[in-house]
Amino acid sequence: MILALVIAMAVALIFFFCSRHFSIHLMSLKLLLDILVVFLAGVRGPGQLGVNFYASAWLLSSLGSMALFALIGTAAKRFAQSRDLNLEGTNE
Amino acid sequence: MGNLKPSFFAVVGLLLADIGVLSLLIASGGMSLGVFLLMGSAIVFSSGTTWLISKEDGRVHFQGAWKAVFVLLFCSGIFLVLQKSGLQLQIAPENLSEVGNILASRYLVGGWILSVVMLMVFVAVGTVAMRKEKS
Repeated sequence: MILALVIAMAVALIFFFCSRHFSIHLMSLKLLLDILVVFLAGVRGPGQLGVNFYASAWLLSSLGSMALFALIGTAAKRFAQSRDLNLEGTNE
Repeated sequence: MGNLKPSFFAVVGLLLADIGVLSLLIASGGMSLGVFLLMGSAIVFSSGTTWLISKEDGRVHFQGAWKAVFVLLFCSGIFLVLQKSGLQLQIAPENLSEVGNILASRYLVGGWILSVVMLMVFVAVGTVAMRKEKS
């Protein structure tokens, strides 16, 4: 299971560093954040209390979501200021 | 199907991977944290798709694929460290009252300071915006 998480992390990092799309950047950042939260909340050694890890996971997920929403807000501001909304639909 | 483009498929694939990761979190006991993150994923996906439809083209532009080598090295290093250290995925139901107690006892003062700083920033930005609007 840890291997699957590491593979998903590699996919998210590759998409983040190698693609040029803002939407792919957003989604890969969210995937990376969620993998880090799952690592923090679920992966621990024997005898370690889960509550401490869950508290840190809540904090990390809140801060990460706030950063993503700030990115979305910046994009929305730029979206609203632009004049070429391309509502005709060709999108090419 | 004709309008669906490769970049949209890439975003949907990332979303599906994200849902898989979060379902793992929910299955391992973190129900409320998983649902919170799922709601965030829905917002990120919808806003990213809006941006994709209106602003970006359908082709996936990959550039600098050599960076994938370093990413794979980094991830294999993380996997080796996790294997050597004996950590494993453990199922533990979350105890929200305990988590709240820990968060409040450790980070309450930090949260107050952060909220005061954010309030001051909002007031300052609002004042500057009003001045610009008047001038």
